[in-house]
Amino acid sequence: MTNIIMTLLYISVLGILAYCGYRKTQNDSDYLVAGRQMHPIVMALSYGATFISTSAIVGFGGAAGQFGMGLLWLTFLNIFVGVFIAFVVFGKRTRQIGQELGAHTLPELLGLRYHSKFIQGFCGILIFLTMPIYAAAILKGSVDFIAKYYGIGFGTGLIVFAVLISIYVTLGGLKGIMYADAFQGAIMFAGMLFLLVFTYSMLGGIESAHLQLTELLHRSDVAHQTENLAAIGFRGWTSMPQFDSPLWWTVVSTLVMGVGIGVLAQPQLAVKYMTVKSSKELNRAVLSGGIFLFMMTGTAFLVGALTNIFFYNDTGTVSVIAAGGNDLIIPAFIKTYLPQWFGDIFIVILLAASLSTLSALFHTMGTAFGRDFIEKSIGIKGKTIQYAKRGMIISIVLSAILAYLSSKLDVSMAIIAQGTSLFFGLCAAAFLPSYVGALYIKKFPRVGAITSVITGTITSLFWVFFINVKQASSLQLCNIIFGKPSLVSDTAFSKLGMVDSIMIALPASILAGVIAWGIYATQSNRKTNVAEKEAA
Amino acid sequence: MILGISDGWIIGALLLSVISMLGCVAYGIVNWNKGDE
Repeated sequence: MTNIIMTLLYISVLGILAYCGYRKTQNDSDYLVAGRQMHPIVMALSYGATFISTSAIVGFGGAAGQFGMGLLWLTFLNIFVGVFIAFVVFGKRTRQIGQELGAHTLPELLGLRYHSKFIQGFCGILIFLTMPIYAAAILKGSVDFIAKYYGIGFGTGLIVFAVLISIYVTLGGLKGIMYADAFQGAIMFAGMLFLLVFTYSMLGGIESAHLQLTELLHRSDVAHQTENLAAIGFRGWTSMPQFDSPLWWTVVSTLVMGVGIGVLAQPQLAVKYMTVKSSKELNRAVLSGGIFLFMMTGTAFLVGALTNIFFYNDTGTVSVIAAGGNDLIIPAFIKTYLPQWFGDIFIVILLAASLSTLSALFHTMGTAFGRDFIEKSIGIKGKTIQYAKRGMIISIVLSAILAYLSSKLDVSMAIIAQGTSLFFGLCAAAFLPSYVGALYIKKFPRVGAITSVITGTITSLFWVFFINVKQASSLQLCNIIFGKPSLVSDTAFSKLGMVDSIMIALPASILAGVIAWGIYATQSNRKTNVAEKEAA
Repeated sequence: MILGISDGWIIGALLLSVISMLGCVAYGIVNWNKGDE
């Protein structure tokens, strides 16, 4: 009963905030970039709450439950790259150039900077078609938990959740979303702080907890339960996996680098920089952003690893076996070992984490479809907000279908974390080089940006569908065409199958952009020389 | 061994996380009133 009251109370506050945003939305700029007048703490909490979703808490927390504390490298990158570099190096210039050019979205910023409708349209349609992968991963994380907690089917939970989101995100535009984000960020922070303190106090303090976790692997039954993991490089939950082992590549290249670097080119996060009126707000946002990310990801990864002690002491099995899958570790831990009242609150925390991220994703997909692709690139005139809302509804349906299909995949492969990394890696490869060029390299030409965006996209998708063994084997396309899980399986290059796409596609995208720039510069010089000779 | 952990890579990740978080706090305080209007 308490959980229903808590959930209803939460949804009511959300409704009020979305309505306030709706009342204050007077024009396209309000709907798209919140009128560029956001308070720094609202902006920082909104950025943090958008960045951190059920994917981080349930997906990556569960990955830490299976693979160990090596995920803490992602906490470091989330704070250093995801907040400091993102706000100071990218945020300030994005805000300034976005305002100068009158850009409202990341594709629009790139399109206006390079004077290219193609770039804006291509980036818009790429976001619209691939972001549902990330949204589906988050939906799966939320519905996994709701289904487990309320004892309902995955399909039923998914439909209820998708309908709730549709109503909420189409209402208030970015203003409503950011007010609600700040409220949800505050709930998430308080909840994760309690989870961290409670878990360590139950295990007798920090040092005692870590020693118990290290000791766990020395038990013969635990060693037996983890022997498959040990065969691919696992060395315990308080150690990094064996260097250069398949597990090391999964943790370092897919989970840590994919999300750690990919965050810089996330369209739904880049738009947040455009919502504040000066760089002073961004300086202030660094403070709260750093603390928020430390608490959210640090707690998820530390507690995720520590769940093994609770499950082992109670059931004699490690987390991933006791919970029945990687993505179920955190939900099962909360339901079984935390006080009932916290479980009721945690439902709200997870709803907050996923709704704050999903609302930003659907807002971004809607604007990518409505403004970047339909209105600006194709040139169909009309009401931006109406097109954006249609784009949002299509993207919600697409994401829900993908989430349902993902629930049929093999439970042992950390689907939520993998889906998230896949999208972050694709964004980095497709957008990052031309985004850096737009912000800092005045001479970087349009042809360089177009070459980089296309090369990054194609390389990344090729790697995901045909090379990376984990992703290619679950997507099945390679198996259907070539009859094997990955093109490099059983070849001299099989090691490449462990490497994540970001490690290949991002360098390829940079290289392609630089080569195109070089050719363009040479041809320009030649034309100038010919013109000078003719003039002489 | 620090905080019950002996693997240098994990200790490094923990320390860098704490240092970068404190760095963000310090940056925010020092630059609280700086920036273009």
